[in-house]
Amino acid sequence: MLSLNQEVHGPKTSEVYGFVGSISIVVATVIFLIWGYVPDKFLESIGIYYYPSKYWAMAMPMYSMVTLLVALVFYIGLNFMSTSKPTSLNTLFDDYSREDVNFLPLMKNGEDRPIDPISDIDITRINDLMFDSHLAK
Amino acid sequence: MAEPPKLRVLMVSDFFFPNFGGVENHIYYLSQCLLKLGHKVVVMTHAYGNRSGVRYMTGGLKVYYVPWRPFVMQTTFPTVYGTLPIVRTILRREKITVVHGHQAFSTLCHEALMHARTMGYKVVFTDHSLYGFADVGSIHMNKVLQFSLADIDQAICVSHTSKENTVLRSGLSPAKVFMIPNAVDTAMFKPASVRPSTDIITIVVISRLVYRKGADLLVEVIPEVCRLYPNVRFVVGGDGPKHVRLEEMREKHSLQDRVEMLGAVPHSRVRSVLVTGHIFLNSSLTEAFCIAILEAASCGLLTVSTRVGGVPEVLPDDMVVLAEPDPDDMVRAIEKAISILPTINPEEMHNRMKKLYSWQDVAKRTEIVYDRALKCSNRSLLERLMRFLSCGAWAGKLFCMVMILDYLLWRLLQLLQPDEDIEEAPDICLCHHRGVEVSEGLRKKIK
Repeated sequence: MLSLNQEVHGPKTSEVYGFVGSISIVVATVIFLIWGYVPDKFLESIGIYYYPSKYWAMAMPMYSMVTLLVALVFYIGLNFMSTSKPTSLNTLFDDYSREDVNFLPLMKNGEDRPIDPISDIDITRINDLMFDSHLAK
Repeated sequence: MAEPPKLRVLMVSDFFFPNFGGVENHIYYLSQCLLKLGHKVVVMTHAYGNRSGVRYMTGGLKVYYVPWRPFVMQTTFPTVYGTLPIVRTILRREKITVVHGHQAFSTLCHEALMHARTMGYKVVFTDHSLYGFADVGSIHMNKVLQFSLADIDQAICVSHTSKENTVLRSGLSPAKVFMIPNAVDTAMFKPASVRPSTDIITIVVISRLVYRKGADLLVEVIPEVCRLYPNVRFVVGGDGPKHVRLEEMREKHSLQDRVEMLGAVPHSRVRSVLVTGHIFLNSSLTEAFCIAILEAASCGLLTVSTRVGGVPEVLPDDMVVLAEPDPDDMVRAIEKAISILPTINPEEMHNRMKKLYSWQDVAKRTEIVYDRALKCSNRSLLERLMRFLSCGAWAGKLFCMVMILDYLLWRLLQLLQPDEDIEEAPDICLCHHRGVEVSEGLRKKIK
């Protein structure tokens, strides 16, 4: 019963929210632009005397943009700080390193073989494969 | 002497080991099968705690754990241009030919696809999830997807339902979207050699206990089924926020001896849990695809599932009993499943799954998509900007500005560090056959 009610009203609720949201944004934008651009004299002539200082019409957007830029710079700086040093052992081992486990060591011929489970290959072996000319052949 | 690799693929996603989930498994298994086909595969993801830097994993899979901090739910903070230098370096070092991004909710994936397209690489995108159209998060996500996919070469979805969803959300041409399902490693998920007796019918549930997976449905379904069938018991594997609700349900209906809660089940132990049961119950509220029911069917279990998203496409009708995501209908479906249980042959079901789904088949089909992407003609910046312009009255212009700036930044990077100055990483040839590895070991001893 509850789910049935939700199904009936759900789409309509979303549509109402969307409609009210878009109208509100348009109205808010118009009010903001009037506040920011119409001179004080005109506003006072039609009886509007009390509104926030026009300074904030410029300041708030600028503050927001600068905050966003600074947040980006901070985030990228944070990432550089979290980079391991070249001498750090975390570039070789970590909490999640897994040795290669050879389960099912006895495999019959023709029997399906599962895809190997995920595991790390030791860096010494990689170096041998990469740079030892004998093994490379 | 190893043959030169056919393709050099970069997989990009925020989600990879040591995280666990469907996307992580998909990337890993697909990579392994592509490696076996002779291609070179590199994975790019962000650092997970101390796991940072470059790792070589099973089969020679190279993984770049870029030191980029996750922001929310293992997704990095969107910086738009912040990843351009590292993406460029990786693409150049590994001589990548195709960039394959995974998951619509992965920030790193979208940024990498954008940068790769700017640099002229072929890009493929795989979408793993369904998203709605009406809530605030989905509206914003769909706009990002429209931007990210406006300029893409090919896309892959894991079910036809997922393809419809992605095409509607992103405005992508349906001709560019391929349907390649997930798969299951049938060699790992085999039925029990001796099937458990049906005197007591065991129903297995393995999923995260969250709202999206329908844990609230379980709270209502389990007591009702236990009341109707005294010989039924449940095994619930998985952990999550709804764990407490299920515990309360056990207490309330005195089902401690008939409902077993296992907690989190590592993927390597999933099979041993599945083979103890006769029926697998999936109560998801939304699914693009459902690997769990593939694994269950491969183990010979009859599946009962909600009829949501791409689930009806996954299994043949005689392997699954579908129900609406409603407790009463699910109870009826379980009743139907119990009635047809005697006709189920686990071994036969496993053999059919082996033919229907395999990661090797997925890799071959993905290979076709890569070849198709490589055949797409290169497009100049102006042509690409035209595509972005058509994304919307205001959004289109904004997208164009973003792409122009991306192009200029790329040129700046080329000025600061030319492509020729980036050192190329040497390749490794890792033998896949165990016998050869042994001989290598012997050779080392000889040295």
